[in-house]
Amino acid sequence: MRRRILLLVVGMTALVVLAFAVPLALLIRHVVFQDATNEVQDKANQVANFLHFYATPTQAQIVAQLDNVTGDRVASVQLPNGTVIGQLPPGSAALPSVGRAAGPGDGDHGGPPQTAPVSWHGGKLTQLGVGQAPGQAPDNAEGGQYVVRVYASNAQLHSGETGWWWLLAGSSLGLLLVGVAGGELVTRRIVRPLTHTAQTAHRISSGDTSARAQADGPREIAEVGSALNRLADRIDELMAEERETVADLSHRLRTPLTALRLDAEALRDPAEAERVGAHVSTVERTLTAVIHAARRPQREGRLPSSDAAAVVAQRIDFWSALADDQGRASNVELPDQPLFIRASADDLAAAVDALLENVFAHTPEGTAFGVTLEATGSGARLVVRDDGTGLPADAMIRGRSDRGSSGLGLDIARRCAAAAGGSMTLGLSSSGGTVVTLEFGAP
Amino acid sequence: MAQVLLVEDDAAIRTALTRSLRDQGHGVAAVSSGMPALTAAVEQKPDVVLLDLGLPDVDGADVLSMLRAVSDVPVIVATARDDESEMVRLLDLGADDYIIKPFTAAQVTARIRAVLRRMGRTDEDPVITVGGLVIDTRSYEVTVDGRPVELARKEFELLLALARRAGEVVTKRDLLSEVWQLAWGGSDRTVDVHLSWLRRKLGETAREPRYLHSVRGVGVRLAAPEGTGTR
Repeated sequence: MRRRILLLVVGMTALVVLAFAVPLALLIRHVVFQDATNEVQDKANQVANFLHFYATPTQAQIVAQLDNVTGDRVASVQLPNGTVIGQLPPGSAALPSVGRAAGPGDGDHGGPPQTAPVSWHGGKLTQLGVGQAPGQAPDNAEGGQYVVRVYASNAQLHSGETGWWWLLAGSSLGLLLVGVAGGELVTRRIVRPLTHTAQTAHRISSGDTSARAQADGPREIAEVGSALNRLADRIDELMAEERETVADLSHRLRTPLTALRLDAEALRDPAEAERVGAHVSTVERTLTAVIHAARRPQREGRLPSSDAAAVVAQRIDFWSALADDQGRASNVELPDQPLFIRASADDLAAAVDALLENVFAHTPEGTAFGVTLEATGSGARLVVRDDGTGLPADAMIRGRSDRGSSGLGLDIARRCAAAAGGSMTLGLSSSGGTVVTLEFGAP
Repeated sequence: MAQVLLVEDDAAIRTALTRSLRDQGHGVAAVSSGMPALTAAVEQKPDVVLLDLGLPDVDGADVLSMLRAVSDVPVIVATARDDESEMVRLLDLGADDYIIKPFTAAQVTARIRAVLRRMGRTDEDPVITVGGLVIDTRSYEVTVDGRPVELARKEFELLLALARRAGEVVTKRDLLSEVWQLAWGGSDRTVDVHLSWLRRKLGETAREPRYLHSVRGVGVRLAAPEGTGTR
């Protein structure tokens, strides 16, 4: 959009500049040519005046006058006797006849004869016949007069335009640059709030519902920003309502669940009581998980984050007492610096507890384990490994009770990693033990 | 045992809980709404009130406030909500304890016992002594051979649960139920790790136990070290 607006501004400015520059260029060309032509005539007039003033100048005086007045123009003076001083114009074999329209009569009025320059061999030629003193017989073919010729080629006549061209081109370019700068300013004013609004929309769509656009800039764009903000507010409200409804429904389910549990306890057959009780517990845990998930934003804010290094260290310390009791060696590698990830401290602690609990549940006492936390390009990686004999086949099945552990351990860890924009992978270590790797995104 | 006033609108829970509490030896008067509960609390003078918050006539929290205005009977609130703010609100309103649904009869009994103990309305000795281990259930203080031991809440409750049945092997299932209110489905490791901390704080290890003895495959037994008397 920015590029298009700039192109439009440059195009419009260029058109306006052209609309003025072309007629101006034609005018300059005409005026410069006219000035140069008039100059040719002036030079001829000056020489003619000189001849008229001196009446019978010497050749040396004429040469000096020609050099002095005509400069680089092709100029010559033909003496009454036919001798030519100076350089004749091109096509000198058939020069046009010198009009004596002015004749000596003009001289009577104290001025040189006037003859307009004529086009001649790709240039302008001025020929002036300067009359003799009255009574003096003509002694040459031109009727005994001096003929002054000054010629300038068209190239010479147009040579004065170059400066004007530069001035015109410079001012046109300057105007164009002013246009571009103005366009850039306007574009920024339009595009900046629009870009910010787009970024806000992206952040909202990627899950950051706290993002809000700045409702500024031109009125229409500010309107887009505030409309987006209203939309985000509404999404927030709807999500909060939805969550509250889920939590409320789940809470209500706890009452019949209590009745169920009490009835299960009252069953006469203890084995049956335990079985039904275990089912009730599973429902209860699921319900608690639903409420927990629904209340998560209320608890943690919209974007949870925690220092993984601190949380993992604290959980390892918690399990260290049992590890000592069971004679388990542990190899723990944690970063010295805080390492923030996109998960709440509670959720991360639950995930770490679940993984460590699995180690204690599925490996014999004395089995060593290791925990490594390290920063990655996109967040953090937590690896929990043990020297046991690998995971039991049903470890990944949700809700399955395995050797006294909740059986939900890996599921808790997997959900924590997934909610933090990461993943969980299971593998075997070189010693055949289990390696669980959790990847977490940065906040 | 104690006279319990049970205020619960759900008939199934009321019936089951009444039966369970009577089985435990408590006298139970059950009502299903708020206003009769207030009347019963004043007229029958129960030892403890178990109050459900979701009542049909008056909000349970209002019943609690009104009850507090006329009586200082211990009240245990049963609620389906487990958020902290709700707990704080209920305790501020005058509840002595709370229990979160779904609960077991054993948990209710344990709560009733704990509340009565705190109120000094029980015949139970508030100080339990096992060898050099002394547990004061009123001040939550524990000493071993005269040396004070700092325990976290769960550690204290675990020690207390074991001390009440000193000499007996208590299963991890029982401990999960009593201490963690996880009747079924809790993890044995939860008990194990707290036991390890308890051992550490009591100055012993699993290999060289003094008070806490693990009985493999069965549970845990708290007993005085040999050479000292129990209780």
